[in-house]
Order: sequence, then structure tokens, then C-alpha cells
Amino acid sequence: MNSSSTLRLAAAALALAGLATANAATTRVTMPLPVPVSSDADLSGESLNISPSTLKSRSARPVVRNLQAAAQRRRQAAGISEAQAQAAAAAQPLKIWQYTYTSPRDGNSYSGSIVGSDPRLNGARTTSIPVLIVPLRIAFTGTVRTFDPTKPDTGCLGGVVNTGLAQAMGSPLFNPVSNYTFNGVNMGNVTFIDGFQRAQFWQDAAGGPMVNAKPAFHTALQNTVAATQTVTMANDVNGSGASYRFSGTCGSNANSVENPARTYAFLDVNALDVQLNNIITALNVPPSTFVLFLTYRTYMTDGAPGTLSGNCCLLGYHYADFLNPTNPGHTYGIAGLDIGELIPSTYNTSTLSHEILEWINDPSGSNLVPQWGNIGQVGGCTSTGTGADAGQDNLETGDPMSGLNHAGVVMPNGITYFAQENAFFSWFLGTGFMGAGGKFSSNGTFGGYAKNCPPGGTN
Amino acid sequence: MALLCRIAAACAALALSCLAQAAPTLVTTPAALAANDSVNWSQLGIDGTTVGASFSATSANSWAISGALAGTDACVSVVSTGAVCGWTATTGFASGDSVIWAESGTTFAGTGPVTLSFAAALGAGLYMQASSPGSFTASITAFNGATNLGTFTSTSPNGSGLFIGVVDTVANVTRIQVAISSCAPGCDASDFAVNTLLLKEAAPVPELPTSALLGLGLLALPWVRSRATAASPRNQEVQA
Repeated sequence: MNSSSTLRLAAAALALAGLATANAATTRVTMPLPVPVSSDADLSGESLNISPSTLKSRSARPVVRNLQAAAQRRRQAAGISEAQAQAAAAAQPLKIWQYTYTSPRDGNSYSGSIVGSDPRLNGARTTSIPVLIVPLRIAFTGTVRTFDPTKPDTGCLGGVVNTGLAQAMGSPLFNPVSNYTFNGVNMGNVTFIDGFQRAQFWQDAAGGPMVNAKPAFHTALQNTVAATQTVTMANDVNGSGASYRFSGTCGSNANSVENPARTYAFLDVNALDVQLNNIITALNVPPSTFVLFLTYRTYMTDGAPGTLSGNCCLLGYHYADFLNPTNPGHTYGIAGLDIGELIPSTYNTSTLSHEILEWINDPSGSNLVPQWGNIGQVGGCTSTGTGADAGQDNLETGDPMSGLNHAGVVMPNGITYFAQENAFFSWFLGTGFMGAGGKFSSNGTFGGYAKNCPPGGTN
Repeated sequence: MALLCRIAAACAALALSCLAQAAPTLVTTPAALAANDSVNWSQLGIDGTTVGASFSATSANSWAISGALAGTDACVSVVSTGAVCGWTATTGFASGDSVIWAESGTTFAGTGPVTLSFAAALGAGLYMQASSPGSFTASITAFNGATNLGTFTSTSPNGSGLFIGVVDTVANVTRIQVAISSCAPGCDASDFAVNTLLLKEAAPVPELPTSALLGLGLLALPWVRSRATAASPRNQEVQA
């Protein structure tokens, strides 16, 4: 076990560009910040003319560490001890199962929890997990801009299914596909999420029967769409969020309506996370329900967005009340429907699939595994440590495969959907299960498990 | 009079002897039970049918069976092929068998133990398996009405299905309760499945009072006749 256990949170930072090797520490783009001259000045980032190619990723780990610390401070300020908070959360727990395996990668024992039912049980049935999908509307004041997944963006999405919410809800993430195959193996009539879980637990580590002998084993997201929630903030590159305009991207809406053309919101994740927690509290969501905030044309930065250099970009993240695999408390995530023009290799449900699968397989963000890195969005891979070049030590299925997608699936609404390829449980631990097709990832990219750090990578 | 006393004493001894033999013993194979009746749970419904806290069924020999669980929404599970409630094939659980899976479909908590009641039988048993993988110990308690006739356990060292039952020399068992008494760390001991109930029923025989009275009457007839002859010269004369 390495010493990075304090940095186990599960935010999934996706690189905007150069996903595989980007290192925020060495690729910062320095651009002058606009200087506000009066209260009437345009503090948005729309006049900066930032090229998407200059945007780089940054490590998500310090970001989520700060989120955790902030959440603890909020509880302390409210006079709630960690023990009290965990006891309250345990009253309506998320449905999870526990595992413990000794990894052949380093000989150490690792434990964690995964959402759903244990695939090793002799009994198998559909485990339904309540999911509350909260459309998140971002409303900027000052230079007024609004980004709303429930409002049309015909210029980008077409005229039939023209909202981010409608496109997301029509996707294979939430609707079954007949004879859905993973690595050439038919998982049956399943959603992408269900199919992935079946595929990664397909056989036991020795190739014996597991889920392949359990047609009743399913993980179903029981979705409810909540009323749209609005986060309002000043449009200020030096504040909690701002709007930016990019050339070459799609859209036809005027500035005066929602989802203006070629424009995106970038929000300080630290400020946004407070708002998300407030919404969860206001909606009185129990810990048994995963809250998925759905955004549109919205990304995140660590700190004030500024020139989007060094602090950018998070396309989504997932998070929990506690770094406790046996009792994560509330779990939630945020991601948007990918438009695909600003962000290379992200198409409609790439980010959503990334975040949902990471939440299912690491709901607390603290399912520790042997250190891995130098692959996907995770640059660097030291044997220990928590720095930006250290690699990663948790079971975040999406992070090692950012930028890789499954083949498109055409749904009844006529839209071709793309989900991100994710790594299997066996890739991280090198044991436990054998994935469908004998592979270590959902679309066959990984033919072996992770290599130890350094140098990292994959077998 | 002395003879009547001797007969009464003999009957009492016989009764005591019968009671002394009315202690069920554990059986761990269907062959040892030598059942002559069975209760197939497919009659409760197809794969995924909810099984409530109480349920009823009928054996192949038309015996009425009543069952009880500690929860309200267990299910009929079909081994290997069940697409709604499935169970892994194992010893005593063949593909296509319909079993009762004692787990709540709402809370995913076990709803065992399973209690099965029937007319007085010589014995009963079934295959069962814990849902959690790994070694487990099953228990069976036999009852006659409210009287506990004994509890027996059997262990599956590798977690495969095992047969557990009780058998007696007289039709004395009216109820069995099966449970998991221990299993691997972290498992839910009340979460398990039971396969077909096997019953050993006594063969039909003439009712005891009629046969006994008839036999005693026939045996006593010569003695009555001789006593009557000795005591009554008139009768002797008449008969002459």
C-alpha cells in the first residue's frame, strides 16, 4: 500500500486535448487576464479568443482533495461530527457489495465496495439503483448567458432531439440495447452500464463460471428526472465562473437565449461543489440514491477560470460524502452531454458513461488498487506519492481510457451514441474476475492488466 | 382379571417402546431418506414469482404443504436459466430446477429460515445452499406439533449444495425448519435457497383400534368359551 491513501477521491478529470500525456505542470498556457475597468465591463471570457488546442488537463486529485476538505469544514461549521454524519448516512445506504483480493501485481490485499449486487453470489437478480437526474441550469449575471440541458440547441444537436437532456435520456446509458456485445460477447438485452458490469464479471479469475452462468444478474439504473435546478453566478473570469466563446464550434442560438452558439460555461469546481451539495440537501435525496447532475456546454476549472490555463479542465467528476468504501454516504456526479466539437474524442455520452461507471465501481472514490499511471488521462507513474506525476491508486475505470470510445450504437431516436471504453476490475487488481473475451477493458484495448509504477502503462 | 392386567402392562410397554424410537435422526442423502413423495416449487409460479411470508403447495401424493418465511418478497428462482431470479447450478441444484430463494427483492436481505409443515411423516429433507459463496453449515429442526424433536446440522466445506433431512421410525414429523447456522465472514445467513422438498410417508395400514380389537377378540374367544363351559353345567348339558 503506498502513502497516497489520502488522495483517493474519485474525480474524473478528462483532458480537453492531449488526453494521454498531458501534464498540467509543464503545459501551462500563459495569457493575460482581462482587467476589469468598471462594473459595466464584460468580465466574461468571450473576448479572450482562446483556442481549444491550448487547453490542457490538470490532475483531478488535488481538486477533489480540496472538495473533501471543504465538505468536512462545512460539516464542522454545522456542528456535525464525522461520526454523526456517517451514522446518519448509514440509515439509508446505497446498495453496495464488498470485496477483498490480494493483487498479484504487488502481493498486497485490497478491499473496496461496488454498487449493485455481488456477482459471486449464487442467487442473481436485477439490482435496481435509484438515480436522480438533475438538469443543472447555469445562469450568469452581468454578461447574461444561460446554459440549460432542457433547452434546445438545434444548431448543434439537430432539430429532432434537440436538448442535452433528451439526447442523454435516449442513450444506451439509460435504455437497453438488444444483443449488446462487449469484446464480441453478447451480454443480452442490456444498457451500456448493465452490459459493462456483466462483461467485467463475466468469469471468475480461473475462467470458471460467474456472470456468464447468471442471466439474471443485472444492474439497473432506476432513473427519475428532477425539476431543473439553477445555479446563478456572476459572469466573471476571476470569480466562480464565466462564459467563453470558441471559434469553429457549433450552434445557432443568439446570446439572449439559452445555450448561445459557440459558447461554453467554465465553473470553479470548488464553488460549484458547494452548490451541488446545497441542491442535494434541498431535494432531500437519501444516500441510497445517486444524484447525477446533467449539464450542457459546461465544464469545470480548479479555481477561478481565468484564461483556462493550468487549472482546466474537468469535464465531469463523481464524489461522495465520505472516503469510506463501506459507507460512502451521498454519492453524486456531474457531467454533460458532449457536443464533440470543442473536446476531441468526446461524443455525446463519452463523459456521462465515464462518470457513471466510475461511480458504480468506486462509489466512495477510495477503492484502493496498486498504483497505476502513464495511461489515459493519468500522466506520470511513480511508485508512491501523491503529486501530479504520481499516477493514481484507485479503481477509476474511466481514467486509464479517456479518449477511447466504443463503436457507435444507433438508438430508436436515430442518434448514434458513443460511450467511453472503460477498464475492467481485473485491469487494476490483476485478479478477481476474467472479463468478457478474456480482455481487461470493455472494448478490447487492454489485453493484460496494469503495469506497476514506474513505468506504468498496460500489459 | 390378572390376565387383563398383563395385557395392559404389555400395551404400556409397547407404547413406551414406540416413544423411545420416536427420535428423528439426520440424513444427508436422498437415498438415506428414501422418500416416497415430493413437493416441486415450480407450482408456486414461473421464474421470478414472488413468494410471500406464507405460502401453500401440494405434494405429488396430494399432501397439503404450508410454508413460512421471515420476509414477504422472496422469489421462485430457476437454476441456471432464470432470467429474473437465477440460481447457480450446484450439487442438488440442476439446471431448470425451481427453487425458493429466501431473499427479499426489495431489501436484498435474506428471508430465511424456511419452515415447511405437513401431515405426520416419517421424514423430510431437501437440498439447500447459501447465496454467499464459501463454506456454510445448514441446520434442520424437526417438530411434532409444537414439540421440538431435535436440531441437526451439516456442513458444506466448499459451499456447494447439500442435502439435509430427518428420518424417524414412526410418522412423527409434522414440520421442519431449515436455516444456515454459519457461513463465510460477511455473508447473510438468512439468504439461501431450498430445492424440492422430499417426504417419507408411512405406508397406509388398517386403523389400529379395529385390527387390535378384532385380533384380541379372536384370541379371547376360546378362553371365553372354556371359562363358560367350566362355570355352567347347564350349558354343558344343553350343549350335550
